Amino acid sequence: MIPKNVIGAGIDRVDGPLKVTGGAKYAGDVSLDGMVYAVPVTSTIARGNIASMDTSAAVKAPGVRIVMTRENAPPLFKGGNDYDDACQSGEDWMPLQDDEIYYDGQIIGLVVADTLERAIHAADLVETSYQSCRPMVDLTAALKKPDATQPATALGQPLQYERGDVDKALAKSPVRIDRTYTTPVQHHNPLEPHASVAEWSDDGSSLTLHETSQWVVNSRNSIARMLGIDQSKVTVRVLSPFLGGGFGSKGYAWAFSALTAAAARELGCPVKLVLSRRQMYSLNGHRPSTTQAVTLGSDRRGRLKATRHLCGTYTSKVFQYIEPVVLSTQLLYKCSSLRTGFDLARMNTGTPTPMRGPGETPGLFALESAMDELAFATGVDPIDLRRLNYAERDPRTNNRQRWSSKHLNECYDKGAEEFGWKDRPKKPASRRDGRWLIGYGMASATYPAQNTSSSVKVSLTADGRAEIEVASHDLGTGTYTILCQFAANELGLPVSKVSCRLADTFLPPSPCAGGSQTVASVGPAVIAACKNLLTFRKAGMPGEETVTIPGSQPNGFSWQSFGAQFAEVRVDAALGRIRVHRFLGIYDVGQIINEKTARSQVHGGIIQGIGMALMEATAFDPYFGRVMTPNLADYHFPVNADIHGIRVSFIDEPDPHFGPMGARGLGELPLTGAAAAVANAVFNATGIRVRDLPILPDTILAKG
Amino acid sequence: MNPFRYVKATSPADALARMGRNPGARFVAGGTTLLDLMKLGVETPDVLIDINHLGLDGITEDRHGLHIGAHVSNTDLAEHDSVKKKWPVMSQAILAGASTQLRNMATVGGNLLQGNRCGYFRDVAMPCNRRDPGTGCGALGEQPGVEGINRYCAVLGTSPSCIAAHPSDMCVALVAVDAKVKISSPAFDRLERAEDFFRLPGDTPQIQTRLGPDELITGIELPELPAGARSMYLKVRDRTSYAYALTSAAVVLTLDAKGRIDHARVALGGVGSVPWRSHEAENALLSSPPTEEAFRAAAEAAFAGAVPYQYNGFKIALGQDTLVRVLNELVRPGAGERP
Repeated sequence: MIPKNVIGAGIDRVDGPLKVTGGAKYAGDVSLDGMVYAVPVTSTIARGNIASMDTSAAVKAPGVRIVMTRENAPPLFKGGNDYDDACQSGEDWMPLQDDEIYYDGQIIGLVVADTLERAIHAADLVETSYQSCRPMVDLTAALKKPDATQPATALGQPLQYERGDVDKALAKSPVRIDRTYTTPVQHHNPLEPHASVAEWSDDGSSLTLHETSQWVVNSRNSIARMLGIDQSKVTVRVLSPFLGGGFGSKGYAWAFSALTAAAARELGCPVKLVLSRRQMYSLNGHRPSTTQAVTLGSDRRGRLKATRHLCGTYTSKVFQYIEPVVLSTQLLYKCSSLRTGFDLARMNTGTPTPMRGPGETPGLFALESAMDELAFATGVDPIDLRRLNYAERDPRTNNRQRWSSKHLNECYDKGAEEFGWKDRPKKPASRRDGRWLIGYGMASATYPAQNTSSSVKVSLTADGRAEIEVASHDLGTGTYTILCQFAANELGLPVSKVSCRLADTFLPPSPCAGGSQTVASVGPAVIAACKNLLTFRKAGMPGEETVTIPGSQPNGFSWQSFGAQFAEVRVDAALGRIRVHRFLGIYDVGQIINEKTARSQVHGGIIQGIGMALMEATAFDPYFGRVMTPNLADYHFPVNADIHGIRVSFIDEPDPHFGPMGARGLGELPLTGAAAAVANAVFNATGIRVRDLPILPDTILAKG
Repeated sequence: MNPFRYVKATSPADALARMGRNPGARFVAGGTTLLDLMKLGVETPDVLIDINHLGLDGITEDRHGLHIGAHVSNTDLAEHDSVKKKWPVMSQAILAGASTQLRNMATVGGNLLQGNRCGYFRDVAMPCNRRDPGTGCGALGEQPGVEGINRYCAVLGTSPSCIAAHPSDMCVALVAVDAKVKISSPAFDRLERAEDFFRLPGDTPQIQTRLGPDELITGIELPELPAGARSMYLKVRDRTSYAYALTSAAVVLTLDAKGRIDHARVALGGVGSVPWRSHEAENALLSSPPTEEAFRAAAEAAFAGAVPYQYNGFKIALGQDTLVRVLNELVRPGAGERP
């Protein structure tokens, strides 16, 4: 058992003082001698061709150094589509190489000037005319087009999947739920805008990039490929020591980074590019909308006999991104006859990309809403229904393979107790406080656990200080702090004697800070390096140790995290107003490393879940395909006044079959299922079942 | 964004003189609308005339009411003791708008000229008759049955050239309390009723108010409300703060000795092309007992002429329910405004 004084303790962020004093330099804060400013010129149509671009006024505008269009842009190359080899770009295509417009806000030029204001002005002076066509931005229509496909797999898992005989089992089921749920386009909207600052050495032998990157190794490899750089001849260094959130949008490499470096190469001076908020609605991914048909068949007591989950979603015209929506349905409940299907349309939108809990987040909204409908139809309590269909072993293995550890039943028990579930209104629309109807709802959460190979270097000084160096990342989640905790714990040092350097490709490589894997991947490497240094530590000698830990291989167990989430909502049905009065999340993620940063990360996930349930949606003009909500006033996510009474609890049992600390990932889990918990509470409060997110005032009015 | 010059005016007369010499100029006060629209390319002034130093930042009270300098910040007005006590509808409306940071910067004069929030108006790549006359109305759409994103648009006072909703909260309350706008020009000063200050879009949606190009707003006057008046503002929106009104209602009401309504002023927000004074609702309320039926009849009268579009039809029912809620709250306080 790991001592609780360091591991698990709610230790303050070690980077906290830097952040509150402004000492933390983010990519967009970097300022270099002789640096100039780049501003992308973007398309205002969503489909068609560029007929002409007149750059004459822009070129002559004060301070302008270069105006790059398809006429004069250097050749740029696809940035790779190889996640496993850390060469993954967000799009399988590069701008400024052809005339075609695939989506609204696509980069069609780059203006560089000596000040940001002059660059913005000159970008406005570029006159573009188009031959435009009606874009495809309607998912239902796009799914019927011949370019829609049925991809077989995502993340190595089958999307088109069947076990048992679903049709037969459905036909025999006395209770059937057969509903369609939809989720809208959502944008990550990290507060920190995407940025790139590029600087070449005078002889062109090295390129340094200050990036907003959740995966600096990948940024290096993919941007180098976009630029046509042979890394054996040119040294590319990518730094991203601080991030103001990413949520997936800074995981894959995007073309604007390569354009910044290309401009710096052309001009022979450093170039900075910071995307505007509007540009962030086109150029760095989003969560695609989904339409999901879920059919559940059960006996009269609620035991699942058949499950069918068919998802339609889309990707852009320039990349095959697959939002792996149906995967969690295959494993969450015991059900011997189950089918999933998946259709992928092509639309004239910016390219979707992973966003916190990709797949699970929209998928669990549908599945967990349907489970609530089944509970209502059978008269079984929603928690009892989930216990009744509990998957003691992994249903994908014919219920043979065990979970490495699973405490979901304890999440239900603990959550029900802490939340006061027994006081739930038994009948919908049966409890009110003045004009406000009160309802309780719950949903399960789940997300796979994984780890990937990482290297780490740990140095020890004779006076008992340790430094950790690794090209991992802190998105604001606490990586700096928890890695220091690991080293302090192994070396018997106070956390204050340990420092940490992150997110620099000159440091030992580590995987993407995505997929909830940073603690599980980098933590074991820190522990291994420290163990090797213990003899030095005991002898009071300096030393250093670099280790590489392979990603764990499947060890006969299924790795998965779980949780149970509970919401109490109050609904003013006459005016359609909905308030989440309190929210409780109980999570089973193995050992908690830092109770404070873990809690903080989970709070963020829950808030994002409340946003998904009640307000978040990107609107495209149906005729022009233009993003009509490209700012934080029109794209709504929760403000402080929307958030009340969030409570978080962890089961905090180390997973005996997952890594040396038994700590599975945490980042994505709280967002999965959260929207369903809110929607189910809205049903309990009002009797109104909302199957299309977000649940806006007009949604309640239309159905009330 | 275009290059522009910046000059600072020292008095109202100086500001007007400078405007007279620079036809492409704009006055800038808090800048919370103008700078935003300049960054979007919607506004492209050659010159910004800073009117933050004209000495128009005082609030004085006399037996006629409250005299508010045009440059008083929204926050200062909302937090003013007399406003909170005697014109609560004003204070409530202001605090329902924007965010604390914006209200600290925004001025009451500027708020009368708040820029439109329709997404088509604010995007120079999209058609908008209000911004570029003759380009069409993006919110209304290019093809029958394929309307634009018009969920936030108006249902009252629209025209085929523009269906945008007026975005202000404060102006709805100004109309409800029958405020006057003080306007100076080189020739003379005048008072305009807030209700008359705003222009319906008609065929000229680009002309949004009756303020002339050579005129400057110098203040607002709030007349004393009738003795015993109750007033309230209620706003329904997509989130609890920092969102524009889907619907709102500002009401000033008095009851006579027999408990009947003897004075009512009703203004609606989020639903009209301008801050919407509803004489129809007021007429329905006058001399009625304050019953749910009377309130419902008034709300129906208010929306009798409403025209819904593809995504905003809900505003008719919601606008009615919002008004009914305010009326109920005014005669039976505390019946349900607890969140």
